[in-house]
Amino acid sequence: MRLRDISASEAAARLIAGDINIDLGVAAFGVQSALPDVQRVFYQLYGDYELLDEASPADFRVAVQSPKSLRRWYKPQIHFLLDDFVPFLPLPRSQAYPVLEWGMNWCMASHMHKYLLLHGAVLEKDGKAIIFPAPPGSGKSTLTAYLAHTGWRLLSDEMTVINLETGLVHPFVRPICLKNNSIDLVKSWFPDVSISNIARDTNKGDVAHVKPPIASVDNIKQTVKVMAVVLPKYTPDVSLDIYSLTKADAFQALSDNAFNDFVLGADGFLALQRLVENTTAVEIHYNDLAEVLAFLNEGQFSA
Amino acid sequence: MSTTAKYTVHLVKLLSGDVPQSISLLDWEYLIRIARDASVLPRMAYALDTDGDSLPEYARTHLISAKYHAKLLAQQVQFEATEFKRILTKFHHEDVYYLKGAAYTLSGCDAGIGRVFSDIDMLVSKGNLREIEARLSVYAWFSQPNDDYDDMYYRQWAHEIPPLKHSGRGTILDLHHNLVPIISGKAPEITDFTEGARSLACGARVLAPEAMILHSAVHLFYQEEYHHGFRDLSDLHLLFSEFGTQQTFWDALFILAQKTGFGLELALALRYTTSLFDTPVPSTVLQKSQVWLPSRPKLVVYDWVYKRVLQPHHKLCDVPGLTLANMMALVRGHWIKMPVHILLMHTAAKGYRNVLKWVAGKGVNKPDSAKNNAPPGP
Repeated sequence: MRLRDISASEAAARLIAGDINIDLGVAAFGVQSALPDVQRVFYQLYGDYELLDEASPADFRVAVQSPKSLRRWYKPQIHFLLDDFVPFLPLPRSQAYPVLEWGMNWCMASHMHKYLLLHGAVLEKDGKAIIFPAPPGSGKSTLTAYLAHTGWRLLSDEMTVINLETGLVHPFVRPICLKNNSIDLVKSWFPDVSISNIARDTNKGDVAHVKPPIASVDNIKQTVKVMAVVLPKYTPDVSLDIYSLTKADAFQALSDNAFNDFVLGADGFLALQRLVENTTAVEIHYNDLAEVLAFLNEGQFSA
Repeated sequence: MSTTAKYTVHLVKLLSGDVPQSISLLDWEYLIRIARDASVLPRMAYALDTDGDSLPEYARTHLISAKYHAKLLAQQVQFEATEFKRILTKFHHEDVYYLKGAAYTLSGCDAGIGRVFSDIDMLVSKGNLREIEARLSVYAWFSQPNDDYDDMYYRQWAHEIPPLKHSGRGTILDLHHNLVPIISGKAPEITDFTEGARSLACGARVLAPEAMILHSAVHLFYQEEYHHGFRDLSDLHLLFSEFGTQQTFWDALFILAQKTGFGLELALALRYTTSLFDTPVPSTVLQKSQVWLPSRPKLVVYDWVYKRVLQPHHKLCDVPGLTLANMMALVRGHWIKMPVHILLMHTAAKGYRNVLKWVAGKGVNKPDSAKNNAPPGP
């Protein structure tokens, strides 16, 4: 049963009770929140995902709650919880939904060490995946949203999940997190796409989440071989320049964007090494997404 | 014991490497959450066979992850120990004794396998403390008191200085000059504990087994807050089991407890490890320790409190009376450490801060480093 198979009001009631366990492929998340805005956006964005039955375990039981201090009334704040643990300081109430998304990423990055986890998007076409590792500000999420609606399958926007044994990439399909100007851009390109309301003035600026395409959600367990690593760098005055990266530079770029390679120790190093050895890596400077798309569709990464 | 929660019983079994019969996947979820909360998940992972296919994939995922964490911790403490050897003078370094988690891990004893700790505890003699603190500050170890009251509390009354934090790596170091607060009037002659200390590969030392274990017991029963009580009791179980095969160990342990006045703590440690973990302790030893136990009515109260607070504190293994038991342990923890007039002052200062927190939210305190990690994201 998918989340959208139950009504919004039933979903809200079950979120209050913490009785929603959603299958995200590499992990199941039990979610609890009594906050109506969180319930509404969660129902909007995760409608296509499968609900697990009550006998199924969750990998993480998370919650977004108002703290029990008098701050409930004065400049209200919210807490993210993993089980009973509060990993970060409270944030302003208006950021409740983004905090749920970011908190879920934190759960993975700090507790799911069966995989190598990188900060990066993954998209696939014809059975070949491309990883886009990138720090904030590189235009990665805008690029991800664009590709996900122009013929590429979204595997992940935020977190690349690599199997330590097979080297294959696992989907970790989640809503795409857009910031500031890119929110309006994506709305203008794809008017039919479902986008959450905007959380203003977060530590990343204005933030909105894009509902992932249903085809991505339906293939949430389908692993893919990685073909290339593409480092995106949005550059206002360049339509598209492509630079080939040495293996050493590619390793450095992936390692810089790794969440848990230091926890995995030697196993993390070997997984990164294998990834670099079996893929081609380029850096692209771009301002024209159509040109990027054409380049990626062609699939000619080496000279 | 009848007050033991179902999942506590399961957890004790898992920690000794036995998988309870017919536990469901949902039971696994609960047990992993409880173990993580009680800081024994890596210990459980090392006790079980995570390589074969005897465990469900769900459990293996979390156990393997916990093992990676523990390996990293062990590596970090090894690294810091090497650093301390490098940055302290030879004279000062010969005066360093690692305590608790760091000592178990560095010395390679069973209690160190998969042991989770958030800081490194170190004992040095009081005479060297100032110089060592000054020397460490040159290498970016700085003290992090919450406020002036905390600093005063540590410097005047405690057995340790405010925690030092390495400003690059974030590692926390607790520098002790005794094992219990000086203000309690029960602080032992520290040389009684350091006698017979063993040298580690890095050149620093850990206490002799009997001193290490007696300190572990004293530490446990001098606490106010028992969130890690179950983990600490599990430490004691492993330590007793590993070293208790020799009668000479028990003799030395009893002599030290008698000499330093910590017989009660030793007797309680034996009483509750054997009752919860079924620790193999010779019956003569148990019997001999009973002279230190309090009179019958008082013992009934002790049992009522400690058989509750020494279980994991997760809501999934709640036992009736836990809240009251926690409160009683809190009062006792303060009572044995401080004379009444100091205790009242301390309570007032802490109470004021809690009121502030309740009114203004948690943000008023200086951000705690461990809780201040920004969520990863765009």
